[in-house]
Amino acid sequence: MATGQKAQTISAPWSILRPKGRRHKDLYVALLFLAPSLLGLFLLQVLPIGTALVLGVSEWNIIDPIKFVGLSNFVEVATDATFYHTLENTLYLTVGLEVLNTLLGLCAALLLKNAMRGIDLYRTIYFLPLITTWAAVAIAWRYMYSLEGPINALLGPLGIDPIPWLSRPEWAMPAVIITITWKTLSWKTIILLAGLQSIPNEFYEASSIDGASRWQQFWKITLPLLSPAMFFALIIGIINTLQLFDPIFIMTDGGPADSTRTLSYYIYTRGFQNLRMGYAAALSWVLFAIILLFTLIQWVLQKRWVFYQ
Amino acid sequence: MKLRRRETVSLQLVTALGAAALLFPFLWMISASLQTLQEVEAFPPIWIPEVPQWTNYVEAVVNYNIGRALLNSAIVTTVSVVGQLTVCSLGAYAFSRLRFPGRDAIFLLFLATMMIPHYVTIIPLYTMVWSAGLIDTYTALIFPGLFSPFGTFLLRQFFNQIPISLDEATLIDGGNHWHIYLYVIMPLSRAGLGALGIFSFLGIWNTLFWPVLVINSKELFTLPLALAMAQGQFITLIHIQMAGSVIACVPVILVFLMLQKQFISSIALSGMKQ
Repeated sequence: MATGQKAQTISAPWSILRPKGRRHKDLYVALLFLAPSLLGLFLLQVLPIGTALVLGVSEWNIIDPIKFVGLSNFVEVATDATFYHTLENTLYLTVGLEVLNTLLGLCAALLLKNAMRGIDLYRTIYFLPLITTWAAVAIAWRYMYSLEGPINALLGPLGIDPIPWLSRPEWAMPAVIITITWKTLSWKTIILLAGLQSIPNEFYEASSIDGASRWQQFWKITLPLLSPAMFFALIIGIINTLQLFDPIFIMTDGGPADSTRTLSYYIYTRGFQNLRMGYAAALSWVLFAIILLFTLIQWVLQKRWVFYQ
Repeated sequence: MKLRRRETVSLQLVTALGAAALLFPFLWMISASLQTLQEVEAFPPIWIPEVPQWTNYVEAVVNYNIGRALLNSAIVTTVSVVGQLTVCSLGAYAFSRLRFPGRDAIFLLFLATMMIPHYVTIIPLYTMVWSAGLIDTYTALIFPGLFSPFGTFLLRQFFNQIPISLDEATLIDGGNHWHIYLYVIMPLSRAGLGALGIFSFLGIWNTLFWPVLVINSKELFTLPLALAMAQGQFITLIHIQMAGSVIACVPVILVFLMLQKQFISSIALSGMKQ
């Protein structure tokens, strides 16, 4: 404090601009430490977000001059049949993925919670799909799904005829959902496992003394106490699903017959395959609105099922 | 909970079955990468190649651009991860340790941008890169990875757990903020830096969308892009493609095995990232 005042008495007239007091004492140091981050924030977030606002009300194919078109992009979205179709696909994918991921993720978490022989190895194996490169594994899955591929070969002995996984509209989305479940399942598992490990053991001990069965313990203790973790995983999981790109790009390119073209992949199609930057930007704001809406709805609904200790 | 012996055995069995199902695509990938073209196209599928064709890997690296792509991925990922750790830790230090006007407002802005989906910013980012004439350059591949609001946030949380008395001790000894950052905060935040390091490593190594947009020439392909493009060009050479896929997966698996603990605890902590 003393040095700060001393500096002020001998400094130039413009020192009046220099903020006073303890709250400001680190301003210059802070600017140095923050400079790279602020530059990054400006170039990678603020400027692009501002540009996206402008693009949303413009027509631009990158080559010709940009043209202001008002809200006509959004009017077009509202009457775009493909948009509604991709919205349906997105809903199908999101619901299918969340149901499978939550059920299987919970099973995996309940299994991996136990101290058994080789548990470290099992955990590593369960987490492997999550970390590996989407492009690499999606190509493998694409071949595995071929008519004469290993998956149909495994299903054959069970009496199931070869399934045209990726070549028929009715099978493509289930195939994509299975692959994404395989890849992202353990993300759910990690969150739920952390939730399970935070439930105090005394609850189980006390209830078994009272004669509760395993099944009762699961419904009355595990599930309610796990609900905050499930809620968290649901919100983040949906946000991630709404932005998936790699598996669709590699496995189906949105086809066959648009059956796997999700809203996010439609943004890519419009922007980078048809070079309609303005329309793609408008669609991306619609995606943002949907994410916001989904999150708000879940936030309101959580009172009904999420139990905080 | 005490488990009976019969239960333990059945639990182990179910866990092992799940592990086998999750491993199956990897095993098929490795097996296919070691087969001849004839074997890989056979029906019913051949599970184990008669003679492992290790030359598939040589061919993928030398003749199908995987070697160059591996080098590009290594360069881009190394520069981005080191850069991101530096930029984010400096920023996080300011938010955790310094007092300045508007600190909380700026931090809130960082958090707010995390809510905006990738798709909103990637279109303008592409047009910016295009206008700047940076399409088909390493700069275009690297610069989006140098900064991350999430990384700044994550490191700030770790820095906040370090007692402030250590800063004061350094100041009394005549040190300044640079010394505190370099000799106190960074060495004590290895867990946090490790966590952010593995997140950014996996994110950048695996990323496909951004390279798809900004890279056209083969010399600049990263591994995921090379794999995706090979799929279009050499659609029939499954064995070569699978060799490339295995090559792409090995580095991430190695890094994961080294930093598994940090990775899992940080996902549980922050919910990032698919």
